[in-house]
Amino acid sequence: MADTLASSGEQAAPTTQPQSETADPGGRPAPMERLDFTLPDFTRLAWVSDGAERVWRPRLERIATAWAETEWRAVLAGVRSCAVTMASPEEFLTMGATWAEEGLNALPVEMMGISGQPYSATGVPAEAGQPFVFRFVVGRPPDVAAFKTAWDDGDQEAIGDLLGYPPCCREFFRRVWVDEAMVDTTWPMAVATGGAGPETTTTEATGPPEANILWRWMGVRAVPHLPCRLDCAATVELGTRLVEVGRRAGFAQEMDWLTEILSWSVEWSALHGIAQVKTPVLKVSTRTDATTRRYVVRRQGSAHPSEGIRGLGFPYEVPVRLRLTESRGFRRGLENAVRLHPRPSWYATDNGFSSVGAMHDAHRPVVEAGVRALGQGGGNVIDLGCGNGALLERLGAAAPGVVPFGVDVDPQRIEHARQLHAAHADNFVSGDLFDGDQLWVEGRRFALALLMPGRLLESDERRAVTLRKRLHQYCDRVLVYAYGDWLTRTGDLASLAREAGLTVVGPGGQQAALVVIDGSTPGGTDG
Amino acid sequence: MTVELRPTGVACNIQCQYCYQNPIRDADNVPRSYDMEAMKAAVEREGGPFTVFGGEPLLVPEEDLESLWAWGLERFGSNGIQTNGVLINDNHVRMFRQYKVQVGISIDGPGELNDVRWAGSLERTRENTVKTEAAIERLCREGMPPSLIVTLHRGNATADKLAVLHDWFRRLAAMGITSARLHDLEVEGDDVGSAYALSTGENMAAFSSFAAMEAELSTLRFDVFDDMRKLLSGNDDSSTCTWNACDPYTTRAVRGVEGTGQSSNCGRTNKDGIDFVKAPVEGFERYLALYHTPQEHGGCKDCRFFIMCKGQCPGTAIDGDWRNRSRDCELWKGMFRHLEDKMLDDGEQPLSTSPERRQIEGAFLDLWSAGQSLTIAGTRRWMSEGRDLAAVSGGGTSHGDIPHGDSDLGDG
Repeated sequence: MADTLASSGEQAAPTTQPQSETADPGGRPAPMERLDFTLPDFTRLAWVSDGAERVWRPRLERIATAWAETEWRAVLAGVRSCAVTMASPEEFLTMGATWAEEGLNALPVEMMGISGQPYSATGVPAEAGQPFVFRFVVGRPPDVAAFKTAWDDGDQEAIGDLLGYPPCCREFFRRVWVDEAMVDTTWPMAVATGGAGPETTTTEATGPPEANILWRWMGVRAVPHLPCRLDCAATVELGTRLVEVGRRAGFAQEMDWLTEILSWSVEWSALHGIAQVKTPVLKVSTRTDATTRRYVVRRQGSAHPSEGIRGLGFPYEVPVRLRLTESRGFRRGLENAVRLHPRPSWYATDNGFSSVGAMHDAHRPVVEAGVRALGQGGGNVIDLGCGNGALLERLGAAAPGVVPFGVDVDPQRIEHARQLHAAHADNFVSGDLFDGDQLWVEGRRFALALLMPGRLLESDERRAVTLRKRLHQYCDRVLVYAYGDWLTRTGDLASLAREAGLTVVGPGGQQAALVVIDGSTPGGTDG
Repeated sequence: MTVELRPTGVACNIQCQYCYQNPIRDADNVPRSYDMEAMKAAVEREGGPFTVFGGEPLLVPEEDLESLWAWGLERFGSNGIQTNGVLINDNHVRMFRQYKVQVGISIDGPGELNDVRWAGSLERTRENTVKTEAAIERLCREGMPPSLIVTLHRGNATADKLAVLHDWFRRLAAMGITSARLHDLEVEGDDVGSAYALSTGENMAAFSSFAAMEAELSTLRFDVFDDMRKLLSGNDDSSTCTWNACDPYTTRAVRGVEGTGQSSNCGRTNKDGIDFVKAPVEGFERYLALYHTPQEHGGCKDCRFFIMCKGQCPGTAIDGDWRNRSRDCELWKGMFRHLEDKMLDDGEQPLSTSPERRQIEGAFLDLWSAGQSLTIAGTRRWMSEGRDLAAVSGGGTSHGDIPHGDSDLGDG
């Protein structure tokens, strides 16, 4: 059954979880890594302040009430053939009379329990002795009859057509909700809007408010269906007409609020089957598809409510300067820590840096890229040319479960690395990173290898090929990084990597990026 | 359950480098005033008793504190405060005694070991530490020994400093301190982590040293180990919130009341710098998700300690995302293994190795799916009573009232 408006639409969701693959406009796949479980349905909400709640909670309630009436009045206005709505037997006594006066027929197609949630993707089965509601289809008699037939046949295409959903969205729904059995279509919608490569986990999108469906869990939406994109033109057209129907029905104020809310910035993120939707006035926790990684959709708005609050990230009002931790007094505390709990004198100089701060600044983007590459998996990480292991130490502090391995040509630096990594001292080898046979052991895999591509340029091609083959054979991912002279020499990291026979993939940073390792030479001849 | 009354929000006289409230300060969401009547009405709604909390609650003018505590004593029979101790003066001490105020003090050690509780300059920081240490001694002398919260980090718990910290605890025990809570560092930023975070090995060494130290201290207990032993034996009715499937939207163990009377939560999960209003409905989706999510993806699947640990505090979650397990998983796993071995050596059967574990896990999944949660002991009772969901209350003492990890007060 198609997703419908929040106050009335509940549908049965499949529970099998095939891999989802959605395509961006360019046709590149953007897979969502899904796990094989589905959480029970839930929707919970927290306001940013009492003040925001006082203003916006009653408005949300009025919007939901207005929307429920707008849905069926759109049938009268000729915007759609049918509408679906929920009503208890008692409510039906009133609503049925109103529909009849307007020449509309209403037919119950399903009995349902009451979820108690503002939105529920999964219908709650009715239980004997418990309160229940009917799901009604409302429309002209022939259309109601046609809807009933389509409902009984499970004909999603005909159902969507009768409810006025655009063809592109019906196709999207069939593919994502029915075929791929997703319980939340937000990520595929966003990918279709903004495009995303295979490794993308954060995407930004924008579009007219009528196609903003990211408020559906709070009962706020301008269209009753799940759009194929967050800027779908057919959806925008339908939404515009529905909002106009609402205005003509006496809900001008509610439609103004609705449009205003849908113009705010909003962020949806998914992890482990839990979606969190952040808005300037409230946040919502709700069910989504269970994913291995965090997927984020940011919809940039054009307005911000006066009841919105300052916060440290999107979609809040972000302060220009962090009031405490960027203050001079607070920074002096960090300097005191470095002074009082000093690192050994060789800690930075081993690695060619003049100070610990300078080294940390250079390492920060590498550590951030490493954390992103590892996800939460941890695992063996090898730094090829590890110096004294300081980079691995910082990566280990930022990414749980890292087991460090390193090789460096300088025995003194390796001795220092063994001090820094006392629990893994045996994993650090003094020698040429192009040899290092002790590290490349049958059966051992590295979740991540760290490599400065310039090392390959410093070597002869035969040894470089050997190393690339080892990276291909033993490593799940290779992160290249560079700073200082190597970057100024080639202009950017991607060029340096290319020169070393490596291809940067994904949205690489200026100082660190993942590369493809295919075990071949730059010329394509397998060494 | 603790009612945390925060008249001045997170306003504080010092700048602890690791404070979990720093995001709120960074966002400048610090209130500038409070309303006494609105606060009292909110405390009444929550059902008290309350602990005056901050930030630093002794920034509240003394006459207002007196008014609050006089009312608290009359209404609930006792009071509490959690303070850094720097501002404690004669009048405060009088009020502590007169209004039965249980005092909790946050301090990370003597002298330079407390430098992370920074006050803008080294000189001021050290002066403050002297004042806090003096306040602890005075309260002990006057028969009102405070409970302590000590956070372990590079400033006080690396191998070269542990001996100093151990000696300090011995002195405290001799003075009459009986309760200390050890916290692992909650890292709120990369710079703070770089400067202060212990490695897993260092953390393990530090925590293990205190577990061993308990044997020589007849009166002073570190509640983290008591909690873990209780969890392994399934007698965990009074264990701390961090082990009890805390919902970051409602934080059952902390019922916060802000200066305006707004209800709020424990601030540990406020990574956005916003003190969200407490959600009306409690949920346990984090724990269902962690149970099913493989460990390599930030979950707890197949961990034999899950039912004791439950992924630990959402405020310490990997990447600051409460949907992940605690970033300190390796520390807690290591400590559970250590205590599990000890129990086995003593001829006891820890729950982690018991065939009963699977049944209890199943019962927890049923409870969480129904929007409920209990302690392990409560779940056992619930199972033996026929698993009637209607009989499960939100958090009455029969099902395990949960103490909060930032206050040792009023937990029975």
